[in-house]
Parts: sequence; structure tokens; C-alpha cells
Amino acid sequence: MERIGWQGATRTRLLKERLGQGLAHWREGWGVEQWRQAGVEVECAEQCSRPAGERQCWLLESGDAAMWVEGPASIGPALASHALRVDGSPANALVHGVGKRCFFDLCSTLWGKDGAPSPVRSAPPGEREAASRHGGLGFRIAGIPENLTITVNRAWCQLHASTLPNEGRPSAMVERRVALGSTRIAITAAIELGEIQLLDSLEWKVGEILLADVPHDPKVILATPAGRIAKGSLCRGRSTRAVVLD
Amino acid sequence: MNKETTKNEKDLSLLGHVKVSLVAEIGQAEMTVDELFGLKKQDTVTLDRSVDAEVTLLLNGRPVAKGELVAVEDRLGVRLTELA
Repeated sequence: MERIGWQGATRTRLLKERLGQGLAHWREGWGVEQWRQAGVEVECAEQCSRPAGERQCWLLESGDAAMWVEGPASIGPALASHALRVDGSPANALVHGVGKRCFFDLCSTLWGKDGAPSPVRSAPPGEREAASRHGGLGFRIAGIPENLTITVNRAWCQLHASTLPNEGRPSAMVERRVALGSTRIAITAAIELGEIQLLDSLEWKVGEILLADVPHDPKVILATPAGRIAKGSLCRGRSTRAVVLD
Repeated sequence: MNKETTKNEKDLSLLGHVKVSLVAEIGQAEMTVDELFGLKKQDTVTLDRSVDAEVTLLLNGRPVAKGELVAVEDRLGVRLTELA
């Protein structure tokens, strides 16, 4: 059975704020006055307004969590020429070197966790990889020389949601495992007597003794309707049978 | 009639060598999920049936008879007390 689910409004807002904090941290680190207006906007993951012209996509991935950063191929030099206040011509190696570091630093900061994975060139996210119905989110970063789109999948959201503030409200919820802890389960104890021929079973008569191919102190299998859970030995309780687990 | 009998005998003879699993259900217990996950070696699970209660014989997982557990020399046996 397929499970789908969109990110809720609260989590989306908090994740947007988290990205905005990362963006601000990056902007302050590079100290470029023109980027003061840089900000993050939420967009539908499938309808992110892709930057016009030639664009490239970089993927940051750790475990199941993934973030795609899309922007024009010229994003690095564009950032560097702003930061250095120099001409961003393709021939300027300094601009290219600084631009690459500046852009990768932005990607790592947006990832938002220590030990961010390195961005690698990638195809844009596939239809299912970060679809809204599968928990993906889309963001747009504006206010820097080129607009960027950020697409994250459910696992990335989950990774960051664990550290989101709870808005100061004590939670009345309990862990699902705790909630299930008092559920009562029926357990069956049985002895496997082996296999018999089908015809023999049709000829049984009351009073006969079926001799099994097991010792007189056989192993007892404890099972739930879902399957076996333990094995043990039969013993006498005070008045009822009991099983001591192996 | 004769034809029918012959057909039944023929069907059964075809199945004569087929083996089926036989299990004796000796009791049941009920516990919580927490107790279940907390089970460890040497723990004792008390069942709901008395020591000398009948067991239910399951053929391919379905109850077909009842009986009493007996020890015959060093082997376990079941004395049939009720058949479906």
C-alpha cells in the first residue's frame, strides 16, 4: 500500500525559517552588502520557477536525505564578481575559483547540518523523488545575483524537523511504541509433533495413542498470530502449564 | 454407488503418501506488547490450561481432535479422547 503525505504548513514555515537562517549566516560570512535583501520563498516542489537560460543542478545527499540546488551555470562567477567587486568574465580564474567556493559554501550552509555532503552535479529531481505528495518541498532564493531553486525530499525535512522548536508548547503526545505497550496480545503454546501420513489421520480412533517423533520433554513454541516469538520447555506451574524460555 | 466408492478409494490411494503436519496446542497466554518485548531467557510464561488438561490436535493448522499428553518410554504421545 502506497503512503503519501504533504508537509504541513507549520513544518514548512519552520523549515523555510531554517533555510533563511542558513542564508543569512552565509551572507554575513561573505560580507557582501548587496545581498542584504536575499530571502527564501516557499514554492510548490513541482512548480519551482526554474531560472531561465542554461541551468545546472547540484545534489547534496546523505543517506535518504537529499537537496537539489538549481541555478544558472554562471551562478559561481556571478556570486564572486559581486563579492570581489570585479568583472566576472569567464577568463578570470580568480572569479571562478572564488565563485565555486562561495556557491558550495551556500549549498553546505543551506543543508543546515554539520558535515554537509559535497554538492555534485546531478539531474534535476525526478517526478517522485521530491514530489509534494511524497513530502518534498520547493524553495526559491532571491536577492542574490541569480535566483536559485532548492528542492528537498521528505527525508531531508525529517532530518531537520527533529531539531525544530516545538513552539514552546509541551506535547501531550506519547511515542507510538509507548501507546501500544499496553495492548494485549494472545499467545499460543504448541508442540510440533512432526509429520504424519494423510491416510493415517483418517483412521484415528478415540483411545489410540499417537506416538510422536519427539522426546517426552519436547520444545514448546510460543507464537502470536503474526508468527513465532520464542521457544522453551514445558514445566508445571502451580496449577497450570507453564513454559520456561530457552 | 459402486462407481462412487471406487472413485473415492482411488482418490485416497493417490493421497496416501502425502504428509501433513501435526501440532498439539497445549494452551494460551495473554500478555502486553511491553511484556512481550521484555521476554528473556529463563522467563516463565504461564498458560491458561491446567497441567492435565486436554490438548488440541491441529492438522495443517486446523483443530481436528483432542487428546491427553502421555509419555511412552522416552517419547511423547497423545491419547485421543475426541475426534471431529
